[in-house]
Amino acid sequence: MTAILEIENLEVNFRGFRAVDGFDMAVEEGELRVLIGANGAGKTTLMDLITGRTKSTGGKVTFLGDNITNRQEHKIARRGIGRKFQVPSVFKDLTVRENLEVAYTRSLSVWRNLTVSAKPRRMDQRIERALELASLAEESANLAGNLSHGQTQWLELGMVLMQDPKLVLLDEPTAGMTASETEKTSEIINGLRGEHSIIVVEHDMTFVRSICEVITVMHLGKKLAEGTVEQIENDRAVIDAYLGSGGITHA
Amino acid sequence: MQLLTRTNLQLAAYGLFIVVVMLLPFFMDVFWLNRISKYLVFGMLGIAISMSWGYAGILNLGQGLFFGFGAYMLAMSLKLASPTSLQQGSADEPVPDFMLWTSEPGAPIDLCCINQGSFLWIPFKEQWFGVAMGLVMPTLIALVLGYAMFRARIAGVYVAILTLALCLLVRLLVIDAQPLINGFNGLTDLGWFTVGGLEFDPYLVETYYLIAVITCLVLIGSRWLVNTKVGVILQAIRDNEERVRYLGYDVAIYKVFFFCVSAAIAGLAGMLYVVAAEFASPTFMNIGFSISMVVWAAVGGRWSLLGACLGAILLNVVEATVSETETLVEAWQLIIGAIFLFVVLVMPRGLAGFIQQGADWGLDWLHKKAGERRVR
Repeated sequence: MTAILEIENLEVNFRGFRAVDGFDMAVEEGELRVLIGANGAGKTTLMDLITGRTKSTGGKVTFLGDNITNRQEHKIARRGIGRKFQVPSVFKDLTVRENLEVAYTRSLSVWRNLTVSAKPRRMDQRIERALELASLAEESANLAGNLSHGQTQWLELGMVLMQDPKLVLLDEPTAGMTASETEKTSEIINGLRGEHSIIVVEHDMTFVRSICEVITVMHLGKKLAEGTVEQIENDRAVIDAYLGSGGITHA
Repeated sequence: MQLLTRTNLQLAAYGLFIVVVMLLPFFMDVFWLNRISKYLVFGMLGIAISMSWGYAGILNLGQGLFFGFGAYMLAMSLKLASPTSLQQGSADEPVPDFMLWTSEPGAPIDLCCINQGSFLWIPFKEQWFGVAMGLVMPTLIALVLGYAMFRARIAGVYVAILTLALCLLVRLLVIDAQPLINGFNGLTDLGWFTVGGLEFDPYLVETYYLIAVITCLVLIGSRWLVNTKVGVILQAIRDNEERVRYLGYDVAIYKVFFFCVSAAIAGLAGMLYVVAAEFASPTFMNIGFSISMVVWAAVGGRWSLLGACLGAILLNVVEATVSETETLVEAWQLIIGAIFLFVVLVMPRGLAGFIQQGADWGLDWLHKKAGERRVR
């Protein structure tokens, strides 16, 4: 196995505040990596740095052998990195199916897309599969704005899948979900394993246990520890960092 | 059998509009036809606004800039074709009258050098050069302006301020350019737009049809455009720009594209207005006019191309009738304002949105009825 994503000594300086401060991480092809850390540890900022939303002030991000540090967002996305946001973000004024059609990026150019109809008669198989995976087959003609919170999260997952990225970044995919919704989400994510490399930011340790291989712990913009669930739960540095917030299991 | 669907009803509305526009000459005299053809031009502006504001979320308060550019480009050609210009120079070397008024004593009466900028007029001796420029110039300006704005991720009210300011700036430049394009007075005393020997006198039924057919084509073309995947991507951008960007689309390019299409339509409208009204003037770039276009689209329904087009036509018809009714002559602006307020407050999606909603209810009711019958 080779590393699909390599982060070396990454740093961002917001007027003196280093949200990410000399962070290193390597993710292998097909791996599912969980990123945890207290609020303000820099997890979301790290995602922003990888996807080009925030420009780094130091260090390097390498993806599939290319240096993608500080490239434009859409170029990074085209290279093969998909992202699900923390706040579910779908197109509320479009139907569920249209959401998936937009995400199905067979072609990204304006001219090419002028020849594609907005309402193809036949539903593409991949769209059908995504609808099924997200349990949204019944909702396909409804406006995405009318979906429940859980359904919206699944739709966004489905959209990221339509994009078919090599690396998927998921920012708190279970935030605000009920226990059964969380379970369903971990099923979806487990189903993606192998085909895609995945990085998940998560707080919910039950969820983490149900999907996890390797955990990376972030603290104050730095890597604090890396290892399996057991290793992390018994790591002295991690326990110290989380003391006062009730230990990692309740983080 | 699903004949009564939302899309089919919409298509029927488009069809009805086209049929009515095509049949009007059988019911109206040329005076009213000339008026209606001007309103159809405004309808095109409504379509242009709907496309940029409704679909792309770009509120352009300086659409008059593109309209004005289109108008001036064709008006320059028609000015050279006017009898006065032909007399003042020669048949091959026409010279606009106003250039003579302001020329220095002893200056040669020739476009090459009657004043410093007059050589710019030379290619406009060919009418089709003017027509081409009327499309190319607005598109080019939109391309440069749009690229600069949308690459820098300028959005919302800042776009409105920038476009408004640019429109005003160009208006000042036009007024200042007395020797070149007759400044504040604009270009008047124009020749007729001519195609293969047919002269489009504004008070001819043919001229009405020229404008009506082009308006309908623009309407159909725009409808086709927003029904391609590009149109859906554009709506997605309006909804959540960031999400689209992370799917790998170059959001700025998509916005620039629609900004340019909107500008080209406005330029085309400007040219047709010159054909119908026989003048071009810096008033086309007045702020009030550009804001009126936005009002038409808002009243008609900016999320509907046809709605915005009809909004423009209806408001102008109301304006014309009310301002010519003696008892209301003082109050017509108040009445237009009241209509605007009423529609925006009561029907935030405009007249088209209101009708659409009514139609949706009707369809739901019909389908429920049909379902009951099947159960029985």
